Amino acid sequence: MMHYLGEVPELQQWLNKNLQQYQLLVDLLTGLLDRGFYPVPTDPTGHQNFRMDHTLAIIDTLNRFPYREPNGPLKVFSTGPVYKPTSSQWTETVDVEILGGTPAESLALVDDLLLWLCRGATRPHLVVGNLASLHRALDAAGLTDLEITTVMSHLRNGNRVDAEALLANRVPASHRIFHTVAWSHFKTAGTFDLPPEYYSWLEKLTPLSDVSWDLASVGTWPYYDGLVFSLYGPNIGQPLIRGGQFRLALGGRSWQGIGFTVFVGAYEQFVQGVS
Amino acid sequence: MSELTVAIAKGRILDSFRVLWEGSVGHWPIPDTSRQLWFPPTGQSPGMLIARARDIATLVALGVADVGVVGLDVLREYPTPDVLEVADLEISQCRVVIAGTHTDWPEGPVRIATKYPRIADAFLKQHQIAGELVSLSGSLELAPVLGLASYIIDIVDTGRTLREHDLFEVSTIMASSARLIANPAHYYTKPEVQEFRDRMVCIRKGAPYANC
Repeated sequence: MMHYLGEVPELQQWLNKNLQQYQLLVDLLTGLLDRGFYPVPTDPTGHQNFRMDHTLAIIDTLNRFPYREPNGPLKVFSTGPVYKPTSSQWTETVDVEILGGTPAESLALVDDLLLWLCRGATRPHLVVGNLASLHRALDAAGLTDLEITTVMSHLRNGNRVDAEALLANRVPASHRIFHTVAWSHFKTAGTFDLPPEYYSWLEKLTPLSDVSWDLASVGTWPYYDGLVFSLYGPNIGQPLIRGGQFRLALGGRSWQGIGFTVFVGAYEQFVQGVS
Repeated sequence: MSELTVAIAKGRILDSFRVLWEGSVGHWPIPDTSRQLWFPPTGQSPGMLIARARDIATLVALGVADVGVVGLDVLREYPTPDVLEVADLEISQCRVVIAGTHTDWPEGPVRIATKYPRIADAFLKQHQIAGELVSLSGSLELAPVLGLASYIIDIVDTGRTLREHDLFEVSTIMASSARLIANPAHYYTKPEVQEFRDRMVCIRKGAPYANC
């Protein structure tokens, strides 16, 4: 006897899961469109390489148009999987970029997006670092430019051991600057001089998310130059969101802004409260 | 720390890690004759997962284990950017060396047998040595004896195996020891992960956790 495919429980379960994933993706994209973000299609196999990062692909696309100083920030997003060469895996993502504008304007937009993304779910954990503060701290510890570059490279690769060792060679107790601190403690201790807009940015997020300060958090990409952040959900072993402020020169133009990537699979677990 | 899962590489690291575990966590969950690979958390003690060294970083990156213990040589040979290296445990110390039937530095086109093709390739490029790599998974000392390669790049502890095959160290490429790695998401969201790291570091320094 022939069964209608939808009556096969395993298939129906699989179809339902796909339906949920697509519904979530549609919700994400609708939310961005409602907030005035423009979609920018990017090529997953451009420049004879698999796409590992949307930011460069977006800017590469925008560079094809004549340049005019934007009147306020340009809000764009791109969707699709990114490739991880070390694991040969593709991960579904939505990438959001706010290009140009003042830092305060851009941070306010990121605030709005993060609060929207965290709404109604289990309390997540935001980890924040700042490359400018880290650079100043390493400089104050007496590290040479080459040593600072080496420390940054170690941290970008997740290697805290060698970064701390290099720093401890100069200032034995200085490895303590890599300790993760709760934002509530950090803001009162005032160890690092942060621009005031960072304080107000983080203050607005604290009602919905735990916030930690970690100077060893430097982001994934070498073009980050200011604030970097990652959002994690309880019992989800992958980041939900990763991003930061950047400045990069591409195609003869200089671009600055702030952006982040939503990892759709992890974000779905977070929204559904699945551990 | 009862909800924590620790992935540990089989072999030498597992044996030497026992001292750190017993000093910081307490009861060692593995019976002496056991071949079991998974010991769930008990309420008093973290869970333990025993796996091949090259799989440890993957298990931690995927969040299957919160933390892992693996040799630096393996981390450099199979880099996994989605983990944090949070402590050098200073156990299972060894070196990755280039060795041959004599102590002469390799000149000209040479053939080198190794189970570390990534580390070996970086070494050859750094020193501008024209070398052909032969990838083997074990018993590297046999390669020069059988004429398969004039040099080997391998891990060395005391050097006894090299001596028994009439091989000589030419140069040390890197020093290695066991590193504690952590899943970044769990490192930030589970306070037990940072506590476990701090306990391990204190024991390594020979200091009680409370005063470390």
